[in-house]
Amino acid sequence: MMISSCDLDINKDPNYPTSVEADKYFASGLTWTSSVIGGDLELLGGMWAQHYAQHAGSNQYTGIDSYNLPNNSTYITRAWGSLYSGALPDFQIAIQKAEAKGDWHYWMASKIMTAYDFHILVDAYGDVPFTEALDFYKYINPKFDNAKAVNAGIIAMLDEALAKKTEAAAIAPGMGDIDYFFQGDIDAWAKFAKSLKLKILMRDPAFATNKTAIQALITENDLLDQDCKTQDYIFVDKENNSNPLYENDRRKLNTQNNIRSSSTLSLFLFQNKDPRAAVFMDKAVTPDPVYGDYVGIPQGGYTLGAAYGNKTSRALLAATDPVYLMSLAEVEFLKAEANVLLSNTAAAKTNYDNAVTAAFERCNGAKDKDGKDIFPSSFDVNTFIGAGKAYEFNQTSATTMLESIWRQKWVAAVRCQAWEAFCDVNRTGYPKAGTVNSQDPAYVVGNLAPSINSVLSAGEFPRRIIYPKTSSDYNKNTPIALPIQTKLWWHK
Amino acid sequence: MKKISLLLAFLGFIGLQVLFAQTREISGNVTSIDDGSTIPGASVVVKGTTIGTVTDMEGKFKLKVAPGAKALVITFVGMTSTEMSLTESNFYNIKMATERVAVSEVIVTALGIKRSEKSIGYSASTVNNDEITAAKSSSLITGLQGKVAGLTISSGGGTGTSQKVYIRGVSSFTGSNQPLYVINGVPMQNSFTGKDGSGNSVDFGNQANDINPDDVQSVTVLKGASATALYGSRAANGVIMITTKRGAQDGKISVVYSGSVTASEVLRTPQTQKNFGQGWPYWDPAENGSWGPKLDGRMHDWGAYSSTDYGPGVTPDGYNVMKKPFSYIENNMRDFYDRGMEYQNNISISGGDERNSFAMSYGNTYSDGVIPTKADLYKRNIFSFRGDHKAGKFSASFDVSYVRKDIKAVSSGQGNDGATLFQELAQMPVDIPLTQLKDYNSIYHNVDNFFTLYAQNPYFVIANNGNTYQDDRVYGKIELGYDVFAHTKLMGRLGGDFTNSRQRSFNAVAKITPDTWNYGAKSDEAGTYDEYNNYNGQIDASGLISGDYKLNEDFQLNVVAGINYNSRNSYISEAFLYGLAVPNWYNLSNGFDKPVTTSSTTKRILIGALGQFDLSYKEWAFGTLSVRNDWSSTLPKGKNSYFYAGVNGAILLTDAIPTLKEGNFLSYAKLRAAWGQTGNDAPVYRTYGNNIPTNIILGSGNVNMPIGGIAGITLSNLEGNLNLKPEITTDIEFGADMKFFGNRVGLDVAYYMKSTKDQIISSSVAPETRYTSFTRNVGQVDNKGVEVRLLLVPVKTKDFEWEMVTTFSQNRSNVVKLWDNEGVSINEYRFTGAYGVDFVAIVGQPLGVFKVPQAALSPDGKVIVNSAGRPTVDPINKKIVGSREADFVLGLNNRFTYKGLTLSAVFDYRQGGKFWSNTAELLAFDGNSPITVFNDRQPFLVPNSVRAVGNTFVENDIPILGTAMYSYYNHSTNTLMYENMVLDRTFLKLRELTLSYAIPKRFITNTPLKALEVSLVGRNLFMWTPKTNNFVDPEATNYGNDLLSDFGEFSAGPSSRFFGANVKITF
Repeated sequence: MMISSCDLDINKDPNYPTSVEADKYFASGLTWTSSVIGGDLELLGGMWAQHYAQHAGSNQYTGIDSYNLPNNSTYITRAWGSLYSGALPDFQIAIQKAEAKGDWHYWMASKIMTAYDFHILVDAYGDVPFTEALDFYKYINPKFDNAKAVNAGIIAMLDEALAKKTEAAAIAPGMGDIDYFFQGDIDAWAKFAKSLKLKILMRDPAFATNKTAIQALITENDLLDQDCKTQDYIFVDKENNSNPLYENDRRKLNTQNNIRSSSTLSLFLFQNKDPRAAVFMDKAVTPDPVYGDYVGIPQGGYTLGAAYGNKTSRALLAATDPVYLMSLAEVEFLKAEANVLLSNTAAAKTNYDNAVTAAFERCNGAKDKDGKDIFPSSFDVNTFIGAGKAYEFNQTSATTMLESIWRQKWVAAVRCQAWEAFCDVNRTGYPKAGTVNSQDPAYVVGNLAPSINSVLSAGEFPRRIIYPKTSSDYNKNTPIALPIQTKLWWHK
Repeated sequence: MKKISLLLAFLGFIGLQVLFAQTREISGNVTSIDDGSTIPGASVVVKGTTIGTVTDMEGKFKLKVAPGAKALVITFVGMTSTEMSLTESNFYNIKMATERVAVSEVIVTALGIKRSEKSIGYSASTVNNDEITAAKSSSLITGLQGKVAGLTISSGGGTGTSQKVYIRGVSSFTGSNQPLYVINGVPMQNSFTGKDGSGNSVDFGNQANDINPDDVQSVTVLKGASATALYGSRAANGVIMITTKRGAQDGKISVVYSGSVTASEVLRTPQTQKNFGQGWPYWDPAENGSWGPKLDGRMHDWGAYSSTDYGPGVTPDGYNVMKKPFSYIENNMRDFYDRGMEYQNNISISGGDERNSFAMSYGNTYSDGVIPTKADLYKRNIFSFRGDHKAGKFSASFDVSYVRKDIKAVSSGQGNDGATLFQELAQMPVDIPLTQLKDYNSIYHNVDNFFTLYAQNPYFVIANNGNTYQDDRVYGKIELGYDVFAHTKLMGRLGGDFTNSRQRSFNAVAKITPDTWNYGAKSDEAGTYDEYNNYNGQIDASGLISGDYKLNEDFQLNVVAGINYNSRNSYISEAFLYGLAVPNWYNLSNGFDKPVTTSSTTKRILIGALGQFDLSYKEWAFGTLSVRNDWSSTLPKGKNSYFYAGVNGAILLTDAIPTLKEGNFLSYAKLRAAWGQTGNDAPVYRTYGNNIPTNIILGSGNVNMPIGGIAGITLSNLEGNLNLKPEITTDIEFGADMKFFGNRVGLDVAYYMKSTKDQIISSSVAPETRYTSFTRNVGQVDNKGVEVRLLLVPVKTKDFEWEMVTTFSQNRSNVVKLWDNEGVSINEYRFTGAYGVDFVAIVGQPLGVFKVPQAALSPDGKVIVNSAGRPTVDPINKKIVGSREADFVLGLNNRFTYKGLTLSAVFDYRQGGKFWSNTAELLAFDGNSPITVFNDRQPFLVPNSVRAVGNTFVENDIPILGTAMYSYYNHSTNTLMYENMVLDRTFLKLRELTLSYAIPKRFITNTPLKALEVSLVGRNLFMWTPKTNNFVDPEATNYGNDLLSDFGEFSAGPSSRFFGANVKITF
């Protein structure tokens, strides 16, 4: 009997395309990245930077709020998986396809995004696979590279991308709407790459190490002059097409109550009469003598009872909230910090004022879900940063200047860059770690409060995401997981 | 193929040589009086001589007799010996009656070939129609429960839901562990229909339920690889061979009507605590749990706008707050359900003569289950027609069945985009009167003002959220046979099985009006509608040549050789609409947005060449060799051919050494041994990786592309493999079949060892490699076990008989190895899990063990508690708390017959094993579970615990407070709770209890009736489970009907008990 193997050669799945160009992979990589930054990391960062806390009448995020996440928790595994086997392979293929065709715009943007994703990974997990990552047939057990070395690799990758700027800019038409961060603006991509470099260089607690490079970037001043965020046409109020945190928390869970404003944030805003509270959270059912209209729940206070929790303010999220990879405010804060350390106080003040202004401007014209105005369309930020005002740049000393910057950077990150806020808390030590929770009379407004249900020892806070089980079970090179409270090399 | 043909020709040549001369040639056929089936292997001897022969595969014989011969004596094990006087005729129709208390001796083996049971060297069990249909289940498979050793059948749902069938354990991780169903020689599709998993799951049954049990003559279960090698790749898990009734050839028309009416009730509802009422932890009218104060019976506000400092506190005009006693409500959940009714009507007409016969039937099942209203409704219509024709050397037969089902079902599991029923029921505080919520449109119980914002009114759910299913299926075959030359027959068989089905799922719009009780706290439901259309088709064609040769006085050889072609196709289109513009209008054009649509198609082909050789010696020694080679489209090009084989042998000791039968102790003894292999191909489309549309799964919900008009394509996380090999199952079996004391005692035992290697799975790889899984051949899973069938007839008098059949099976699986990741031995593979409970394969463990999070321990092994006094979790290690596997399974069948009256009972007992219960978990979470009243909810310290002070540990002095008790019983805040939710799977069920009465013939002699039988039937009447499981039926699941379903249940629905009456009239 002869059965030619040809007759049976029907096992290529006909339901999927066989050949796809760089643009589709690039767009896919952007979406994977946005889903991580604007989804799980926004949530973890929000809870751990104490913008948010778990409601006492529901249960969804108690593990996060008590720092009790086992290594198979999806809050630990998903970011790792989405970046390593979602975003990064797509950028990798986009780079290969673009290189073959000379599509240098996709090539450059994909390189920068690759660098950005590795930056997120190394920030979150510490030592991570870098040199041997994403090469299944060669390295089924990729080695973990030292976090510092990964940073150097990321910087090199960004420089490599920047070197192709001319070629990338020459291609017409450009990426257009497919590039839904900068709509094909290669200059903006270059600025983003340089801003990212600045951020990474400033991770090193020994400022002197990267001082020259930082000085060079500050001097050149070709840094972001706009937000790097998803364009308005991306997230809409439509199932599975919305801001990831909104989709997960508000559309899909049966109760919308889980994410409340943390007391840490609410008390700070109330003390400073900061009107952005209206943009960050719902009004409480009834005003509270301590908090006013916007009431927080003590961090980790999910066991205080539903009746207690129901009096607090729910965090405000919208389906259309953009996802920020980097914000203008963040870059200005970074510049301010660099200038303080470079002893350029005047420049630092300008940067600081610009940063706070940008942070307030983000709220301009904000509306609630019913379309009601919750923030004026233009707001005079001088009422906050002007002389003698609440957020005036405190130029007493380098320390006070840095404290001004870091405090404001922490508030500026609410409802847009919570993960970055968490990284900064660890990097700078601001807001300072308090020892009592916000219900205690000894609580100092502006300090972090220990989570009421923390599983960590007193004085300890989460510092990192532990290595996921999905990696440690299948990669023999995955290091022993260090506990959540273990500092990374750049942490204070 | 050429070689096989040559061999056949050669054997045929030998066959021709064995003819020898005698005076007169007579012929005839031997059939059974009971069902008209032919009897092969019956001995036909001229009375008073040793001259004789045996009937061939079709029950026919030819014999040369001397002129003086007076009569023939026909004998066959299990049949009453018969004498036939010889007349001048040269043709004799001989009918034999079944000897009472005997196993059916004719076995339909692979490919529809009939064999005498004694000649078979492997375990094959046959169950006849009367046993299958005794309790009037609409499902053929349910009718086999508890009746066959080594066959484990689970069915947790109501009428029409799926059955899980395991033969000799489970070995496949991700493929099917279900047997191959073969009807009249043609494989049948047996997909699970519906949606399995934890969210919005629905079970519309598996396709083997599309058989009318009344049409079935017998079912034979082939268990080992040696038996199944001829069915090829798809038979690795055993074969269930179904033989349908055919028209009798007696020139008469027979009409049979059978009708039954059964009522059903919910079998098990979860037991709840009776002491504490609504609240969390204080009384709160909006809560969904019973963490509140002690029930004191006082009149109390309840529902929306109850006076408390919670909520707006303003009662709108026209709204008077409801009052009720703060007391436990007995049978609250049970009273929610109502009585189901089921009607079955079957009519069959059959008849025929020597040349033509036919059998046709129509069966109708209408079943409205225990959920109030017709939210669970099952309607099935089966028309079937079977015909046979014989003309000299030519024969033809065909079967065709048309099945139409219309089903309505509620979703189980967790609600996505709309509430599901069973989770809502579990979340009602024990003092809330469920049946009073019935008017879900009233101002008190509507979406706006339903008392709790954490759950939906269950009556709203059944009225508004649900699923429908409709299918049209045609299956059947055409078979042509031709006697090429003496003893040699050609046969061609073309089978087809085509199903078109339509599933619809809908969730109502549930928007909360501003400034009402639930506004601002409870999510709006936008309303969804899903259409899922599926075509599934199979063509199965075989060409066979078979020969039946008497080599000499002692040796007989049967040969079958052939080829088989099997192709399966599917086409699926699905459209999902989220957000309905007009409530309650379910149509794809009713959206604010366009529906999200997907489509897919699959095709696979399997070609096999096969041969089987049966050699018998003196009717007491038998040997069979079967071989097969397959070519599969799902394996890599160039590596898609694989060969496997099986051998088996049997010795009929009592015939070999006739003296054994002396003394009326041993009446029958057979020893058998078998070895066999079965190869299996890959799932479709696993040789290559894919580029797929980007759909990103979040914690809940997705981010799907296109987004904002931008399309995205991503590299699939699953990599294909161009080096896949077929998976091979090898098994060895030894058995003995013995009868004692003139068939009053029968014992059939089998021992088997089975090993499955190189199974094809999506193996996990570390995501940093750029894939999360890789298709590859992995591991080895062994199963070994014992099967025993013991028949006892303790009492047998002229009028009264008590027959007891006990089936016992024990299977032990062992995961011998998984795979190696270049230096990392992978010792664990996760099938599924929920909330930190994992269902995994671990090397050295039975297949399918449960792992749960464990408490973090201090160096001296004490539980470390947090500042609230609750245990903290070990972030890395989990512990094993048992496996899915039962210690043993016992079926106990008792039948008492007194004249025409028969009482029979079938018990099914399963000892051991575990399953995960979300129902139990949910009840503990919301304070309804009896376990939550430990210590009367007074403060206590976690036993043997410490708390950390810096880097040291001191004895724990932080009690679990009464007001924080709810956090103790919540798995997400207390690690120890996970273990409590993995429950003991043990149960004892009274599967069937029937009392039937055959009206004596003398009462109906003057009527057109030939027979009349009435019966009372009960199914699943009682269930006993260990104390630790007072929540759910351990068979309940919503994870489909294969290995994953052994994980347990995610708020699956309850099972039901049925009781009713049946009448069967034969004209």
